[in-house]
Amino acid sequence: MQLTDYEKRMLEGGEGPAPRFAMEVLVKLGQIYGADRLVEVSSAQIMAHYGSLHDAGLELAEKFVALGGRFIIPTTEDPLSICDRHWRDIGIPEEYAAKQERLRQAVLTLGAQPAWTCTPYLAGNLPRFGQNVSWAESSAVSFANSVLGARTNRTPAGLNYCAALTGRMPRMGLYRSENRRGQVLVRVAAGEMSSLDYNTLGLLIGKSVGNRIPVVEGLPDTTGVDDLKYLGAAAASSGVVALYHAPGLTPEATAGDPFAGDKPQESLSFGRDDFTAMQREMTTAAGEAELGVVGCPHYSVPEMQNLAGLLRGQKLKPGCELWVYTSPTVCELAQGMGLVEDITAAGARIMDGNCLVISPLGKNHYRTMVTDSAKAAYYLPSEHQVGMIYTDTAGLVSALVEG
Amino acid sequence: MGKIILKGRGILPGVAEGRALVSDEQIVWSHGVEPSQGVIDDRKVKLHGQSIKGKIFVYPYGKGSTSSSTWILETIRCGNAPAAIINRETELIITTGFLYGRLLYEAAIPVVDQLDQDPLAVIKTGDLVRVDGAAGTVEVLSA
Repeated sequence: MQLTDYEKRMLEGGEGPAPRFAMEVLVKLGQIYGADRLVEVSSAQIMAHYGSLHDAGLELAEKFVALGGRFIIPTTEDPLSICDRHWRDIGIPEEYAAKQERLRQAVLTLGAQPAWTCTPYLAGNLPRFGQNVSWAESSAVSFANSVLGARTNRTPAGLNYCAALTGRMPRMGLYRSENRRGQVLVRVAAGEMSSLDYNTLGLLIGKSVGNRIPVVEGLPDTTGVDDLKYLGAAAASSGVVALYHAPGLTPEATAGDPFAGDKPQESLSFGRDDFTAMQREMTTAAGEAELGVVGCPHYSVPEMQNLAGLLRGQKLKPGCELWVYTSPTVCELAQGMGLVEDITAAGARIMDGNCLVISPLGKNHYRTMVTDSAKAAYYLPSEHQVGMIYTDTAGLVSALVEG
Repeated sequence: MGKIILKGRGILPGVAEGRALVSDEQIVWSHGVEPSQGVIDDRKVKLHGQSIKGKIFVYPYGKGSTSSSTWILETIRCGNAPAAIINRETELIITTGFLYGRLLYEAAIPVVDQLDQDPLAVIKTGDLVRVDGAAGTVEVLSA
């Protein structure tokens, strides 16, 4: 494997013990997978949630601190496993919160930004077309590769620390142009599409293509950034889709033929009937919802506006809860717009910087949840042993508020 | 029956001998294996409830979250890891978990993939298997 003088110096310890440890990991992995060299990565999205890192991940982060490590590229992190506003009142154990706090302090000491979000691109971590980055979190990876045209693999938790400490990753997988070509053609014929439709379409695509790269045709011109966020998050839940192309909407497919002259391995088509069937399949509960969950991936400002509009002047039914997941950055903007007040006045909780997929539920045992997110509907039933109702945001609100 | 020798790619070195646990389904470590017990708790797979501790764990490849690497690392930290891993294809997420296990907890667990015969067809649960990660070989000693 070819290394530059600077990379050799890091490997030999000339830049300190933390970059040395990180370079040993990167070079070893590069050798195993036949990488010819390392690529420079311009930002990292790392995981620092105790719910998935456990004590081992905490010990890893604290090891880098003990070695005097500093992140040398802009680095943001995934949500935490607790919400600072609400962990006490929903009944997260003190010991759990204390472990999460240690992990947070470790990554802040290493130089991470306190972004705590799965949508780092809405919090200032925004690579340009063609730029190499090292991101974790499947929905963020999909967004970076597909919507932004940046390049990242599905970087394992823990390995991103090495990228952040060195600004390097082995040149393999989606860093190489030849591995970014479309493989499966997906034709969509569903007319105008709602936010829920993009979620549902993502589930259908992920289930059918697995880990191959789909090229999605027939999406409306009105498709927005949040719509693509949901499409990618859902396809990365039911499948392992790290990159999709949508000619006319995503940059790589617009700059040239996404199949690069090859024929698709397979052609699929999805219409209204498929959406309806998949929507039904994701609803597993017959009873009334007790807990609403929105913001998976994290709600954007327009989504906070939409929700505030639906909740204005309403009250949640007694015994019902609504947890709104968003980033601290979006929350601050929403606060300034008066949206946080509209949402909390109805009785909902804003769980900024947090995510229910990677967090304990707290002291209450909910039987039935309702969500407007395909990713949440895919993961939460098995993670928290609950029944699920999968519907659009307006349907979710009307299920939870007093009639 | 004489012993069968498979040859493939040595991902991580180390030598281990033990009884095989074979899954013909993809394994998700993240939320799918309980590190504190070393037991598969993913209800979606047939091996639900089985212990992986000390086993020669054979499965096609990983699936799901990028956080599986730290679930593997935690399983190693808790002393509940398999004795060896055999995959059709070992992805970066799995390799990262076991490489960190070596660096942080001195767990030299061999990992091999890309064998010249399909390990899922040749190895059965309960077979005595010897894995040499440096040589990239798998010996099925007895069925």
